[in-house]
Amino acid sequence: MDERLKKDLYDYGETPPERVWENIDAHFKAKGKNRAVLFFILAFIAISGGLYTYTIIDNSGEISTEILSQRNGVVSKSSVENLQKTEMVKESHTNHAETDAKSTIESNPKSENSVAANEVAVRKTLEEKSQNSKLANQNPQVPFISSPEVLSEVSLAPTPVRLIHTDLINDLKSPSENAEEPVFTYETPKPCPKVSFFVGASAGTGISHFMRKELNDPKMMFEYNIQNQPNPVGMTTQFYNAGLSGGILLPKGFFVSTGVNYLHYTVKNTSTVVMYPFNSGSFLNSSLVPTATGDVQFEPTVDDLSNTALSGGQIQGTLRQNIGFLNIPLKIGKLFGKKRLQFSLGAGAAFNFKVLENAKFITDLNEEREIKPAALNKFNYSLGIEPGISYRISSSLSLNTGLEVNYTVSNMSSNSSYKLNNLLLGFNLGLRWNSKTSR
Amino acid sequence: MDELKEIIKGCIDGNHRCREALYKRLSSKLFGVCLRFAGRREDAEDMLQESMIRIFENIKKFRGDGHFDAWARRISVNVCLEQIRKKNPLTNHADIYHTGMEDHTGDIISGISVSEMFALLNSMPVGYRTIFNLYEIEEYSHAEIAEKLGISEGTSKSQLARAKALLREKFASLNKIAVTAKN
Repeated sequence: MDERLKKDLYDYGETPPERVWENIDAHFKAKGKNRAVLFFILAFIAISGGLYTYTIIDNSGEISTEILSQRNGVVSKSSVENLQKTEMVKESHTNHAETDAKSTIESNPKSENSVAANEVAVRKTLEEKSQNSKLANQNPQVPFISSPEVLSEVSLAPTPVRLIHTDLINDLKSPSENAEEPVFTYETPKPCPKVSFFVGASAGTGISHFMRKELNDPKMMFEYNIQNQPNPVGMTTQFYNAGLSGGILLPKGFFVSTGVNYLHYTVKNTSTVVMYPFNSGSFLNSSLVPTATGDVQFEPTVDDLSNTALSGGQIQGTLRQNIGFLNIPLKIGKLFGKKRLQFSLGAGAAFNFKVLENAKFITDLNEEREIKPAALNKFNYSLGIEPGISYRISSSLSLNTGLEVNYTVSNMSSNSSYKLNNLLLGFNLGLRWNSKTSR
Repeated sequence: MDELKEIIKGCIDGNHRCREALYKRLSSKLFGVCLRFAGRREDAEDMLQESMIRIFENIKKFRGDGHFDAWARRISVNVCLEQIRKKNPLTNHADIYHTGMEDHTGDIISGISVSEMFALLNSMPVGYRTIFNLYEIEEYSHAEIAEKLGISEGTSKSQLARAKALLREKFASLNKIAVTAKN
């Protein structure tokens, strides 16, 4: 084969279409998002688990101290029952001994030697049985270990209850040795750290700002923005949200929570679209309409040209844009204060799934035109903090209010030429129901 | 060279701009490779996309002891072969069997342009085209081709001979048409 042709074929190159790069870029963006979501979830689980463990360990220490300080206190129900069982065993042994002694005498009715001989025999039998009774009392573990209450205490809080259980055994040895005046020095175990659950509903509103950052040559884009784009840095919108939440209230006032919210952004903006009809020749030039998520093309009609001919090709109208997200927050936080009024501080991540995106341009002639909004990614995630106040209406119901500051960390736009993020500032009001302690 | 190192380092770190820069550097040549193997433009785009993703994902394995472009090209050829195998299982293809025909032909074609050659290649069955590309253009040995395609060396040689014969036939008929058109 011709060497020149071979070289030409080897070196042959052709610029691929733009969509190839867009697909590659989208592939890596999606991969990055998945990694970030996994990181957030793992971090949340780790922090929640750590917090829970910390509070449990801390409270176990408190209980041990309390137990020690409350020694010689109240006798638990299970211990009383166990003691009664022990007494019954003892009584049973004594009764058996007496019966056996009597039967020994009765079994020798014809012995005429003397009553003294019978008495010796009776005393001997009683002594033997008394020995057996002591042995039985020295091994009282069986009824205590098999006691369901003791077992349940062991399974719920091993460390403090092991102490109690040892005490039970030791204490119950003493009554066997001093059967007349038993002394019990153990006490009722304290419950495990209190963990309660809560569910709630809340609604809120606020403002948010969609921020745009050009990813291409900034100088070129700046000039382009100045000349053509009326919306170079983003747009402020109003939002509403409502949803349900639930979580676990840990000891020390810590809590972890999650839920589901609907977050709705709405934009109403008066815009002027310039169509330049006189420069267009035989075709209609499309023009840009600024929306919260980017500038989109407005396709004018022939009627628009004639209607606006006198005004120099300008058309006035109002943009109406709706964006909806399903929002799933994962939060950790702490409640401060133990009175009726409590302060709270929560922080965490939220995962947002797009469920609605549409836009309309309503001209001054009241004509509604659907415009295709700048594409938003189907998913984004945000980080935020929520300081708030909680007012307890009743023992289990509280009224909550708070502020919310949230920032979408991931790029919301699927357009590779710019990055879109959202900063949200809101106010929330809700009701929360707290369960009793878990034990 | 330093600039390329910087770009590679950025790609390893997952930098978006570095990925784009590397794509711009490689895409044109690799698209040429994909077009030669694919036969159809849409398939070539898919092959290029997969090649670039594979390059970005494996870039940390590039040891820097060879030419980067050649390393990337090798990945791209492998991707092309994988995709061809997926769509046209070569081992079961009627085109690929040992005919006993050996390649004793010299220069089969001369005085043909690149675009004409592309047209001729695209008109060939996928098996012939693949072996012709691998041996003649990418300069793989028959042993390497046999290993990559899962065929014997003899089959590779005979298929190359048939591919060249077919090309010569097609080139001759192309010339005939051109001469007839001239007259």
